[in-house]
Order: sequence, then structure tokens, then C-alpha cells
Amino acid sequence: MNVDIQLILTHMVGFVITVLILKKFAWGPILGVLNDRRNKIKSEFDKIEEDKTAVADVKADYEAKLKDIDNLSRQKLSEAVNEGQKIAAEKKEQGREEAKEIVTRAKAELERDVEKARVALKEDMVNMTIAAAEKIISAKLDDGENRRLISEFIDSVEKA
Amino acid sequence: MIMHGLVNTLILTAQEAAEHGEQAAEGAHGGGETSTHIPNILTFINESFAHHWEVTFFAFFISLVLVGVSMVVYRKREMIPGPFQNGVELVVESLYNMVYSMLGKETDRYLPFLGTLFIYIWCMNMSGIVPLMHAPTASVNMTAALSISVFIFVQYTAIRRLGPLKYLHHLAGSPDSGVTWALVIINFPLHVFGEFVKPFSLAVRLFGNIFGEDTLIAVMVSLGVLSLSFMNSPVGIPFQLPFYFLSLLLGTIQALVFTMLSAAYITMVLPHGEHAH
Repeated sequence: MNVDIQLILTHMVGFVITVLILKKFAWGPILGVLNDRRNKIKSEFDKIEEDKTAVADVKADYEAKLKDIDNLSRQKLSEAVNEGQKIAAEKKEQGREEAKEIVTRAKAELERDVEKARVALKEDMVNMTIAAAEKIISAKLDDGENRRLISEFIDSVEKA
Repeated sequence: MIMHGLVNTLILTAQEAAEHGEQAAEGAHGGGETSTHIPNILTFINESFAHHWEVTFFAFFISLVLVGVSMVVYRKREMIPGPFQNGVELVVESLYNMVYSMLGKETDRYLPFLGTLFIYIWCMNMSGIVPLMHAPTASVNMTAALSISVFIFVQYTAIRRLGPLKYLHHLAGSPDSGVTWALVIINFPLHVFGEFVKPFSLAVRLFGNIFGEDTLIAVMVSLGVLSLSFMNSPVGIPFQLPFYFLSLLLGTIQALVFTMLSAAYITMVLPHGEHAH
């Protein structure tokens, strides 16, 4: 175990130079790259988390809007149904009124027609009576008997 | 006869080379260990100068490889790494986590020193099992150089972070009462002595382990060659193979121990509350 100061010093110098060179070209740059990569990965993860939060917010917003739209559509539907029912009721009422009016009008017309027919019938009867009377008169009939007959005839016609 | 020659070469070449080296310098074999070890690329050069600077040569070669790797990564570093950069980053991050467990938020400041220390020692330990190479850490001169570097770095850190007065206060055992101040006369020399013992223990531990592994492997290689020498086999039985795995394990553990103890020494001189406990 011979100790040689010259060799020891030479080895020390060699080691120190190696440390300095590796510090400049290995440890510093490699640790720098590792740190940069670590920071980059961290920032990417942070960004992903932020994006996730943003997406969750948008989703919540979207779902809330969908819910609003659903409520609104239900409300509109309900309003439309009510409106429809109202219109249907109005139309029904209107129809009923119109039908009633038509019936009333038809009744009045019928009555008028009956009256007309009655008048026409009476006139026909009078004419027929006159015609019969003329025939009777021309055939020299018993005046009293004829009158009685004519009156009965007229009554029977009126009854009919 | 041929096998005997080979065995003699294996066991004795180093010693012969060392003897050549001794003619020019007191120490031989790049640091003075004239023991059995496996021949390396410089063993066959019959120049004392080459053998004297053997450890330096391999240490320089390892430094060159580390610098080359760092340069390649530095120039081609990208945010999305390729396989090579991935491998280097894996090593860097593992070391970072290891040092962070001791130094906490101070890690960035001391990682270049401690990380280089670990990789440098590990590569030197591993070069002992690489053919035609030699583990520089099997030389006490190399381990002494590393531990003295750690000692100087720790003292410099202490003075820089604590200030000269607090540094002396720290060396005196951080007295805060009459009794502890009275004991300063004992504590101060003890602490100073302790500071000098630390690099000594670091150096001897690493040297002893790696030197032992190298010697063991060399002896096993010799044994393997000798065991088949009677049939003039050009290849011996690889008895050393299990010890390669042992060397892998112990080489890593020793590098780790050296680095973690250095980190612990740094932690001890940092102001309280500035590092993880």
C-alpha cells in the first residue's frame, strides 16, 4: 500500500475536472430536461383538470337549459291544449246556437207554409163551394136544403 | 510448459512490471500494489512509466467515457427522450431520489458532486471485471484522492454555509451551556480528529473491498488455469465466474456506501432545518 502524493493529486485533479464537466454537460441539462418535462406534464394535467371543470360547467348549463326548454314546451303544450279546448267549446256553443236558429227558422217557415196552405185550401174550398153552388143553383135545388148542405160542407172542411 | 508459462505470466507479469516500475519510482503498478492481479492492456508494455500511471490511465479513460456520454446526451437531449437519453435519465433520476432521501431540498446543489462520485466509483469498480482493464479503485492512491476530495468539499461546504465562526462552533461540538463549553477542550480535538478519520475510513474501506475482489478474481483465474495445465489446455476452468457476480454486487454496494457516507457528511455540516432528516 504505497501512497504516492503525485498520483493522489493527479487523481484529485482528474476527479474535480470530471465533476465540473459532468455538472455543466450532464447533471444541469438532464435535471433541467427532467424538470421541464415534469412542469410540462403538470401543466398539461392542470389544463386537463381545468378543461374537465369547464366541460362539467357547460354540461350543467346545458342540462339546466334543456330542463328549462322541457318546462317551457310543457307549458306551451298545456296552453295550446287549453286554447284548443276553449276554441272547441266556443265552436260547440256556436254550432248549438246556429242549429237552434236553423230549427227556429225552419219552424217559422213551416208555420208560414202551413198558413199559406190553409189560406190556399180555403180559397180552393170557397171556389169549389161557389162552383158547387152555381151547379146547384143551376140545377134548381131546394134553397133551404142547399144552404144546410153547404154549411155542413163548409164546417166539415174547416174541421178537416 | 506452455501452461506454466501462461500461469507465470498471469501471476507474475504484474509483479515483474512492478519491479520494472520500481526502478523508476518507489511505488509500482500505478499506485504501489504489487499483488496478484489479472493482466490488463498495459501489463504487456514493458515500460515503467506506463505501469506507474496505470491507474491514472484507466481513471482517465473512464472519465473520458463519462464525459463522452454526457456530451452526447447534452447535444441530443429532447423533451421526448430516445432509448439512450431514457437510460441516462433513469440513472440521473435514481441518483437524485437516492440523494434526496438524505439532503432534501439541498439535493440540486450537491447532486453534481455526489452523483459524479457514485458513477465514477461504480465505473471504476466495474472496470475490474472488464477484460484488459483494471479497477482504479483497487489502488489506495485513487481511493485516497476521492476521499480527500470529499473531505475538502465537506469542509468547504461547512465554512461556506455556516460561516467561519459557526464552523469552529460546530467543530467544538456546538456547545450551548456551561458544561458543554467546559468540555470544548476535549470535544474540539476529538471532532477535528473525527473529521480527518472520515476520509481515511472512506479510502481504506473502498480500497480494501475492491482490492480484495480483484485479488480473489485473479487467484481464481490462476487456479482455473493451473487446474488444466496438466493437459496443456489453452483455456482454464472459469472458477472466477461466480466472483464476477459478487464483484458486480459489491462494486455497486461500495460505490453506494461511499456516496451515501459523503452525503451524510455533507448533511451533518448543513445548518439545521435546511435538509431532510
